[in-house]
Amino acid sequence: MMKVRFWGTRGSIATPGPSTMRYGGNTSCVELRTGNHIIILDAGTGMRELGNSLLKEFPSQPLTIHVFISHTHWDHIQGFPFFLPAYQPQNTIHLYGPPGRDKSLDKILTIQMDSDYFPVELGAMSPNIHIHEMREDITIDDLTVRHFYLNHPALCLAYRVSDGRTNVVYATDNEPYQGTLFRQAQNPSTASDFPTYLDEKFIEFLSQADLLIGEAQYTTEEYKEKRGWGHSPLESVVRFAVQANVKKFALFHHDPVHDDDFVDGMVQEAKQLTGLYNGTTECVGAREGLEIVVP
Amino acid sequence: MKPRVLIVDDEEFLRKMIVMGFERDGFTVFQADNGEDGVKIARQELPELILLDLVMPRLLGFEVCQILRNDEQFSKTAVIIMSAKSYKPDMDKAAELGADAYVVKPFEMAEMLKTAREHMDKRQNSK
Repeated sequence: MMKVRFWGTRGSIATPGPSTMRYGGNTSCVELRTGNHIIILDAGTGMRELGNSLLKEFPSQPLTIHVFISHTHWDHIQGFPFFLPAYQPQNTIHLYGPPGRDKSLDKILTIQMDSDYFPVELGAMSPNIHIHEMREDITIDDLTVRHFYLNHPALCLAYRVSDGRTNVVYATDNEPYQGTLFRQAQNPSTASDFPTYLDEKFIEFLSQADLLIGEAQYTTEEYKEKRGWGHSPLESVVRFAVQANVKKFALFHHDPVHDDDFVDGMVQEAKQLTGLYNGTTECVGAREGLEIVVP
Repeated sequence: MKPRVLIVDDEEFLRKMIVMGFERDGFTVFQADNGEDGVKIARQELPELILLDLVMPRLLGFEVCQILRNDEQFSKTAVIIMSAKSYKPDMDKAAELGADAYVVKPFEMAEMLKTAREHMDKRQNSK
């Protein structure tokens, strides 16, 4: 059994305000609990409140926390400097993620806390912060965490957390290759099914997941104007989820221009699309505070 | 003497296709399925051309390119990054790291061979 709680569901930039009260304005951060493990998926601004909640729950007990960062764009790392458990020397924090194009993950996270940007340096946090670049799938006791490179204008990873029975996939900031390689695909003299082949590898990574936390950045209409920005139209995410036989899809990484009513509409559209594709995937909108128990 | 190329790509099917294309064109071909082995083979064989996939286990194409470009013995070696990722920031970074070209997959083998020979000539004739 895994328990998933959303602390930040927004993409791109934090969007507090009356129009985002229900789904929330904080950027990407998801807590996953299973057994004694505390797993955090992304370190967007929602991580601040998560840290406060952990301190309340474990006021003095030393914690080991595993944080998996999809990529180092601001909306996925900005909460880390405000994550108070990382300042307590009794806590051990393992941070995992991809390297940058020409900088190590360690360097990128250190630069984020350079004194020109933030008053406290990374070195002033707990001495037990360990930064690991994901070079291979990892095992944490009974859990395995697999990774998969996504199609985004940064080196960006999806993660699949499994205890051997329950599988949760976190896959945001991904554009279907059928979108970005469309020019090549239209050329009949090249391998026209290559984008499909690459997207099928992604579907394989999602296969039979009990929960997919996947992006819902654009509607199909919006995507026409945003092709090449590294995000998906809702249609393709739903189609992939259905093809992968995903049990539940949490629409996540809401676009900053989408207010609560708009996101409601996208959830409805996702449900209709699921029916259209003859799927059984249950679609829900990820909102701050939502807890999903994955049996 | 036959020109020598190293192809580094974890995608086995695609790598084999590229290997065949270069062999047919008269190249001696070396291959690796991850970045770390790619660097090792590059240092052993010192080929005139190295093709690097971008996303690979152990070391990414960018990282391999950076290692090669910081090593004087590869100053005459043409390096081409190839990827299904077609975003401009990836292409810009490849150029910044010293790659001679960035080729988006899938590509026509004839075009790849033309690009490869052009950049090999440029590198070989550079001071």
